[in-house]
Amino acid sequence: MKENEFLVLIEQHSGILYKVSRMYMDSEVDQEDLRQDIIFQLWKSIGKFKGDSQFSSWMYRVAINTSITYFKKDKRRPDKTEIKPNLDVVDEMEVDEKESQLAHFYKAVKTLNKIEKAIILLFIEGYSHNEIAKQLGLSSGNTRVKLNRTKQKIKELIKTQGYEF
Amino acid sequence: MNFDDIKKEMNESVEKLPKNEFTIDLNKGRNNPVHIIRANMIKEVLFVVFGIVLFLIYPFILSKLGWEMPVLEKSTYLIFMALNALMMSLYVMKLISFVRKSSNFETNTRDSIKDYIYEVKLTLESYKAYVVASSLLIPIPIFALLSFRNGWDTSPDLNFERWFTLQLSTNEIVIVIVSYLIFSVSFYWITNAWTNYLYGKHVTELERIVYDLEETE
Repeated sequence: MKENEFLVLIEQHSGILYKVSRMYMDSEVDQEDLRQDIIFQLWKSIGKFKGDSQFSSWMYRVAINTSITYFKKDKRRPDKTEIKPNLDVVDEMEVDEKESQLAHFYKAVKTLNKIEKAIILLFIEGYSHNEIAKQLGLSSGNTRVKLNRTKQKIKELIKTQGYEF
Repeated sequence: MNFDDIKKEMNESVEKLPKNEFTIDLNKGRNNPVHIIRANMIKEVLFVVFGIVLFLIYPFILSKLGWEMPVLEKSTYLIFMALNALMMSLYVMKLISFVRKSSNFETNTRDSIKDYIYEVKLTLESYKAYVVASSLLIPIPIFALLSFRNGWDTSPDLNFERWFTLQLSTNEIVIVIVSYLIFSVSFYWITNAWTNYLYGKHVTELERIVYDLEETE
């Protein structure tokens, strides 16, 4: 595949890049760095995509694998940042995200570990237990346990912000 | 609020974003332990290969400058350095095989990370084995070189031929064995510390991810 064809394909699925990078990174600069890492990894792996699954599923897999193994040098990892239960400190966010439900969701997501972030994102995107299990290489039972636990955690955290969930 | 609302807002927020022109930056991957380990290994191998080539041609450089090593010292030096270069080339082949295998990010998360950890550990063990084997070989050519450069050939105590053919007293043999052991153990210890510093923290990071993946209540 030629570089321009690849970039057109990425452009068509750019939503995946933005959603994954937003789940794993808070600042716009870090999100952009992560997106570039994902594009780099996709470009290196594109030759191995045989069309056995949907391109979006394959892209999610590479994007999530890259994000899970990604960490920032010389800084504390974002998913290791200690979050106080009342979450009263609003982080740097896009202006149009402030006060939105999504902003509260992302604040809650910050407390999750990298695996939980992947599970909840795939769940929101409509993947089934079995599909999530297949993407991450887990058993269906383990995935179900983790998903329920993560959903519960998110609900409780959003409730502490004054939202009904 | 529910997860459907979140999905809807997530899609809306992505649609609102300005359409960027994407590019591929081949310098990326600097924050990824997989890429960091691979880049560190490649740099290290290039450095070691450069060192070995330099050591291999050193007697010829000396010869060009008018210092001709005696036959025994020169041949011993070259034979041991050639053996070292052979071991290094085997390690380089192992590393090339590792680099080719280590970009497999499109299998499932657990398998891709576990395979990677296995490969990196295997490669590091090969590296340690190479270093330990080198530590047993290197003192001999180094002594040959020092013996020549410092004029020890004329000294009855430090004469290379006497040491190399083990025409030594019992005390001197004990000194040789103990020195060898100390040198090898120190070399192994330094290599372990070095590999842990360069690679260990990244491997630990990946192992933690696998633990998070496999952990259930």
